[in-house]
Amino acid sequence: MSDREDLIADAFVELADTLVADFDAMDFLQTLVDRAVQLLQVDAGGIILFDEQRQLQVMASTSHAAQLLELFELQTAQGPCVDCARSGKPVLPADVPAMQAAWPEFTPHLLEAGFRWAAAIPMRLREDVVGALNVFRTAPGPLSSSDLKLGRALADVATVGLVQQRTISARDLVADQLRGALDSRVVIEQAKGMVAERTGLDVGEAFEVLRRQARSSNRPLREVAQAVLTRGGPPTVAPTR
Amino acid sequence: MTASRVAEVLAGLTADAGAPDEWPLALTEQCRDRTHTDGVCLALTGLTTDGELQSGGVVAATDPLAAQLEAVQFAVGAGPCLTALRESRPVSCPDLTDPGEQRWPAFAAEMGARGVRAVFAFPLEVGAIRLGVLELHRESAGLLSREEHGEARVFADVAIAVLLHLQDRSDREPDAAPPPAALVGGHSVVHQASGMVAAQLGSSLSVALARLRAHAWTAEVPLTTVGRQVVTRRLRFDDSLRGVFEPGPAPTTGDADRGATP
Repeated sequence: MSDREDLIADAFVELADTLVADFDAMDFLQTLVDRAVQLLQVDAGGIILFDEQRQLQVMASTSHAAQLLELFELQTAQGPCVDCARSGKPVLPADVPAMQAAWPEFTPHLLEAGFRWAAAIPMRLREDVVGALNVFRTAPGPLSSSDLKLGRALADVATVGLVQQRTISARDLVADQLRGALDSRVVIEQAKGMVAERTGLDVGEAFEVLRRQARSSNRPLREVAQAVLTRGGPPTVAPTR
Repeated sequence: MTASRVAEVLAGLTADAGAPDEWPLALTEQCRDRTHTDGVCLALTGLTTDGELQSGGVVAATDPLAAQLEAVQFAVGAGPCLTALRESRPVSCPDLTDPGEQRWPAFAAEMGARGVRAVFAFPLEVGAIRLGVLELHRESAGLLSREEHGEARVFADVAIAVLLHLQDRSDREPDAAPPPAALVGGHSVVHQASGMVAAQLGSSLSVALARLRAHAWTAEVPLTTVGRQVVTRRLRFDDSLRGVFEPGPAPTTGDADRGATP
C-alpha cells in the first residue's frame, strides 16, 4: 500500500476502535476531524451539527483558536454549511470569486483568517442533513474526486459515530442523541473557560489540557470537563458511579 | 429567516400570560396541549454537597398527578426524569406497564397504579448548569409523534429561558430584570465566559451566567460581546459594587517612583 493508503487505513482502524462500549462521542468526533483534515490535505476543519432551530453548533474543531471557531459560527447566516444543509449536497466552490459571489459577508472573514477555500460535506441520516464536515484550505482549488469520495465516507462515519449508541426506532431518538451531544459541547466550553482562568492559558490551550487529561486518565472528555466544573479542578481520584 | 419556534412560544407566553410568576403554569398547560399529553410538570433540581440529585420543588404542574410523578421519583430514587438528568438527555417511556420495561420498577409500579402509562422527561440544562426537568405523561401508551416530540423540546428550551429569567428576577427588583430571551444560543464565547467568571468569583456556573446576563443588560451590549470581552481578558468580574473591572496593561517599572512627593 502507498503511504497515503496506509494513512487512510490507519485512520479508519483508529475510528473503528473507538466504536466500542466506552464510546466517547466527543473524543471520537475530535479524532475524526483531525484525521479528516490530514487525509483531505486541507488546513483546518470542523464538525458542525444543526440543532432543532437550525442553528449551527460546532461539535469538534481541529483548533480551538477563537478565530477559527468564529469562522464556523459566522456561518449560521451564510456560508458553505448553510448551503450544504439546504441542498443536502457537498458544497465545493470553484475559486475565491465564486465564494465572494455566493457568500459576500462570510468570504472576507475567511480570507482574513488566511484561508483561500472553504467547503462543506453533508452528514446525512436517512433523509435529513444533521450536520456537515466543514473544511478550510490556505491553498486555492477544490478537492480531487478521490478526496471528495473520502470526505463523504468520513462524513458518514461521523454520523454513525454520533448515533451508534442507540438503536434508532424513531427519528426522535436521533434528535435526542444529537441534543445530548450538543449539551456535551456546552459542558466542554464551560470547562475550557474555567481551566483558562485558573491556568492563565487561552481557551484553545485549555482545551488541549482537558483532552490530555481525558486521554491519560482514559475517561471521556465530557466526564473530565464535568469534573472540572464540579470540583473546580482536574480530578485526582476517579469518581464512583 | 422566520423567528424560531422557541422565540415564538416565549413571545406568546410573555404577551398572554400576565406576570412572570404565571409563565411557568402557562408553559406547562401549552406544552400539554401542543404535545397531546395528559399532564406536564416543571420542576427544579439541584445537587447535594455529595453531588447527588435532589428535588428543588415543583415550579408548576397542570394537575396534581403530574406533580406526583416528580415526588415519587425522588422518593424512590429512580425514574425517567432522574435518568434524563443523570445522562443529560431526554428519556422516553412509551409504556410503564410493559413487562419488558425494566428501568424503574418501583416508579413504574407506583405510577402504573395511578393510571400513568407513558412518561417523557426532558432535562433543562445549560451545559453543566442543571436547572430542572420538564416531565410529560399520558394515560395511554405510545411514543410522542415526531411533531409532538419536537414541540416538547421547544417547550423545554422555553422552560430554560423562563427559569433563568425567574432566577434573574429573584436577585433584583422585579422590573429591573432583562426580558426573557431564547437561551444563550450557540455562541461558545458565552459558555467559556461562564466558566471563567465562575472561577473569578469562586461561584457556581449558574451565578456566573446570571452575572454575565445582568452585565450585558445594564451595559446595553449583546451577551456575546460581553462573553468575548471576558474571554479576551479585557473584562473581569469581581465582588466590587460595580461588579466588573477592566484590567489595564501591567505597570512598567518606575511607575512606583513617579509622583512621589518630595
